[in-house]
Amino acid sequence: MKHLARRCFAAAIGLLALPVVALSATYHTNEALAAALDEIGSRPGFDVSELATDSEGRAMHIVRTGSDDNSDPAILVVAGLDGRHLVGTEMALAMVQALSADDDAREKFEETVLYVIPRVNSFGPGFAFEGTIQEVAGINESSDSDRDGLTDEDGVEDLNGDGRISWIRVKDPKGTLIADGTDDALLREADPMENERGEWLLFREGVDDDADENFGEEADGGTWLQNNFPHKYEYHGRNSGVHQVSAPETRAIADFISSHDNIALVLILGSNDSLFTSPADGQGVDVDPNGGRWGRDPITQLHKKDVPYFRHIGEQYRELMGLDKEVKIKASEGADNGSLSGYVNLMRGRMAIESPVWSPEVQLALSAKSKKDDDKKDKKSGDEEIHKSLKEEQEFLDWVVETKRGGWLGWEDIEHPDFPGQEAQVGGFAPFVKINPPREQLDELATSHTLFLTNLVDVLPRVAIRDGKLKPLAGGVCELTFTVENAGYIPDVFAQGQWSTHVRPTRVELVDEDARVIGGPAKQKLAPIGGSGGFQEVRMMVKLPAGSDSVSVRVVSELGGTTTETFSAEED
Amino acid sequence: MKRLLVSTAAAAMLWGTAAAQVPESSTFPALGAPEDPSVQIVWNRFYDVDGINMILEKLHEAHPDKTKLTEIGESAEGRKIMALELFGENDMPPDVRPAMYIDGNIHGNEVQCAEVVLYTAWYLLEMYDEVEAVKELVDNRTFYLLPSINPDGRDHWLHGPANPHLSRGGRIPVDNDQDGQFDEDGPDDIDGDGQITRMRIKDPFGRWCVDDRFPETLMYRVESDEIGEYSVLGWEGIDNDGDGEINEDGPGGYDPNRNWPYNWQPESTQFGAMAYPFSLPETRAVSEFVLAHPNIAAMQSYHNTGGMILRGPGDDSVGLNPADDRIAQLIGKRGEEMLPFYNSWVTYKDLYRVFGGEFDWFYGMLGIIGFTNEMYTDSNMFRREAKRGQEGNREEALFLRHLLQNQGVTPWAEYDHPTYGKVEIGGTAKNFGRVPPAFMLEEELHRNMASTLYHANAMPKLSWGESAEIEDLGDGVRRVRVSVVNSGLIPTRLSHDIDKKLTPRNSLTVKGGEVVASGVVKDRYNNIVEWQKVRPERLLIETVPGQDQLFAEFLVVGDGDLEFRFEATKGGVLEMALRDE
Repeated sequence: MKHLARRCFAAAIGLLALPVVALSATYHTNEALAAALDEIGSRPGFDVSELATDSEGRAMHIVRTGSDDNSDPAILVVAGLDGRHLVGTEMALAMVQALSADDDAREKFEETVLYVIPRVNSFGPGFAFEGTIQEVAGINESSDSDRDGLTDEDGVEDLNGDGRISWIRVKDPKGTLIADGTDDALLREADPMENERGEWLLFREGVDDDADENFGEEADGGTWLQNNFPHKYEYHGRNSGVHQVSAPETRAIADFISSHDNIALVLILGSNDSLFTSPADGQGVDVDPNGGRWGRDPITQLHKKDVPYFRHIGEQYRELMGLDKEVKIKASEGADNGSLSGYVNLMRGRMAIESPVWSPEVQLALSAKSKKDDDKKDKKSGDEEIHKSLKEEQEFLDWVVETKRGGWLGWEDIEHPDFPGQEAQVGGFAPFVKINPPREQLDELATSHTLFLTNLVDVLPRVAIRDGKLKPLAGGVCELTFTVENAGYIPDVFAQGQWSTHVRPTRVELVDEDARVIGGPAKQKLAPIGGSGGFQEVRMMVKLPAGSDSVSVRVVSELGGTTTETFSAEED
Repeated sequence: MKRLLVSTAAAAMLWGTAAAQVPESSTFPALGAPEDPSVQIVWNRFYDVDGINMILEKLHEAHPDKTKLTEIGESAEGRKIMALELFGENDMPPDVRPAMYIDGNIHGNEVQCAEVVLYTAWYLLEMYDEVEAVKELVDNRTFYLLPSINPDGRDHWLHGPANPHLSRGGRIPVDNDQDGQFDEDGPDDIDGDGQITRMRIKDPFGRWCVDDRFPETLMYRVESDEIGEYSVLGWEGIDNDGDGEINEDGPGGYDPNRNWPYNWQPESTQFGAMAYPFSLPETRAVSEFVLAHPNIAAMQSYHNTGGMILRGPGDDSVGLNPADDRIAQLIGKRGEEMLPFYNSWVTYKDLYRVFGGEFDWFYGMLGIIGFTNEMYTDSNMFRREAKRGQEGNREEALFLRHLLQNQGVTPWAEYDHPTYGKVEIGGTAKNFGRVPPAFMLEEELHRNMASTLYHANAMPKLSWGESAEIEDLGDGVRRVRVSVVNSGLIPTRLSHDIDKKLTPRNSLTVKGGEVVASGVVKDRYNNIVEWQKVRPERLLIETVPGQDQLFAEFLVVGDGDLEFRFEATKGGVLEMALRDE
């Protein structure tokens, strides 16, 4: 989409006198983010570099801190894939800023590499701060989503001249929605089974520029980066891109992940969730992760053996967020198609977890408003009950109104050129209000998310050698035995890692080139080592070089680090 | 004009010398080849990447008005990937005409697949002035010809030691044995004959014996209750990295024909898929070229071996729309007739499953029917259905002995192997088994090209119907009916394209009057029109079916000439003026 947003003052009546409530200065514009990253890059131990040039021609930055040893396990944080999701970027940036200011926290990363990509999509955020404020999820590409051979012919328009793109509702016989909630502020599908007849049409603010009876069908951005990765990719989807990994942004991320073998965990702060609600207990496929390398049917969900780890980490997350139970985040159908987390989990075999950071559902759970309201009757006006499908939305609306931050625009009559003489209104929720929290909440969210990130260091696998013994047999031939232990929480190789074939098994090799393994491979590959003290025992016959009575062994774990130990021959 | 080849500027273009010795006045042309080509090319040998690019340049220099030569990208090792655009005379620009995309050699070892693309370029250019049907084809279509889209694999196969199967992929290092090292232990040419042949070892409890009829090449496996003389040790090689395994991690180790986006699956399901679709420089370069040419309406890729005309899908989780498959079947069937012992097959049903294959992308995401010809079949050795198993091996040995005088055979000889001790090394050359010998090569190239040209001819071919009907409805309103004819077999948009909305709809635009309504005529005899809801001056049309015509109707207010313009992304552009008489 080459973005179209035109102001059409003429069509608007009863202009709102309120100033545009853009997101506050604590949300970062592209320029402010670049400046903040510049500043971080000047601090010792922090490296800020350009991972790619994005489709807007801007630098897509990556921050590196923590260990400078590439054999140490790494965490990658990715935020801002969805152009509307600003809070993810704020969290990513705040994490890096907090670490740079806190020596104790940074020490935690002494043996862990941390990579942070704070903003992947720089196009969408451009519409949050200046010009006509509007939600743009995708990147800037020409779009012919209706395949009429014309591009970008039907964008959105600011009909009431309030400086933003909100919503239009029109009373029309073709409408399928009915007004409900306090002062009929909300809309829901009419239920013909309940003898309800639809009255309203709802669409994004604009006119039908190309007179095809669709409104703003080419206004939702080009490729949506959060849906452009290969797992469960939606072929021929409206915003999934010309093919998988087609955008410079997604390609840079896929290249980075596939060329940094030590990335053990990816934390995605974006539009999908696996932390407020964890994968269900007992969910997952139960296939033999070692079942050959060719011709296997694709797997479509996490491996059953891995799911408990995701559940446990989800519990930790919710606890830090002050939640005592799961919160179900509403997602539109197909929101997880082509997701980065699916790619990382099921195709690269590493762990990816993701959180939207905040959402209306989370807000309601946090403010425990739902509990209070349970005591009341859900009233519309008088004794009439609000339809159950609108209960949460009404609560959120009440919260928005109570917080008085201008997120609810009300409904204002306008004359819509495509519906002359019909009742038409502009308003509803302001752009970004359902996706990003008020700025006053950013600090608190940043604190809990930084703590969560720091705790993830303990989740990573860590190999260690213990109980080693080098027992001489005869003529420099020794029997070497030792145990390789995983002191982290997750296994050195997940079941999905084995299945993917992209995570190498942990291997044992002799450091000293003159020492020789007898009757076995020079590099011994180990079966997966479970976390929390899981172990594998190693036994090998070794011929020591002449005059030597010790041997050094190296254990190389792709995701759990590398460790070396020297053993001296000792008689029983 | 007759001329001595050696006396012209074409002398510099000579590829081979034998023909040059005889004056042309003493030769008589055989049918099927140009009588007087401006570029002489010998078609009984293979050319490396430099050779291919030199031929492309010569063809371009000799035919500058009919060709455009473009470097579309570079391979992993920096070799050029070249595309020759080929087009004749037509008012429609080459990038608007229906085009056929043809590539070869995506698998580096499948070398004759580049020659067939070169041969196609040479044949079309050099026969243009000699054969009317070639001129007609070249004038109406554009050809995008990419002889080798895996130049690294090709050159390593041609110039390095190899067997018929090595160097299939490219040269990006891959850690195939997951030991942290890349490409550290590939096959080795121990006997220095330029080939990777086989190793065997005398073994009192072996399972193999020498075949008495063909001891120079053949062995056979003994019955389960018999004891043989040899154990077979696999391809020639040593344990380069001292890990106790031999040949476990050779150069590359992936498959460029599994790196395309449609129904792509990762390594866990599909060997050789690499990190994501179009992650390879070669496939990415091709994708960028193809996406920049939406006029491509037909696709062909050349592989070896086995004598197959393969079509998609590669896996039954995606399908070929039945209406589209009927067209593909017809084209494949004709190909079978032109290519003796070839089979027109559906990949997943008749061969094996392929995820992320090339032609599936062309069809699934671009709406283009594509074929893969698996060039060369053993049946051509004796022009009868080849036998299988040991009988088939004996036919090969017989062919080597009697038709090639055992050229290409490395007799078994003893060598000291660092791991195994005394072994014997021997077998057949890399260029036996998957590529034809010289005397069969030109025929193989020509027949494959012919099957592909049939496909090129099947692309949409549009013209206006014979006459437009105009009816005066009174009060200044005219009813105008025009038709667009597609004499090609392939519709302007395939069923799958319509279903998935892959390419823009066709459009028929009218200028010259106020168009108040327009629609596609659904039933021309009963006058049933499907009126378009909006913007009648630009009628959107789903497709013009193959070998059929489409009628469109316009209600126009006002007098005056009318100008019509029909546009189809994969069918080209038509323009017509209707005079107000």
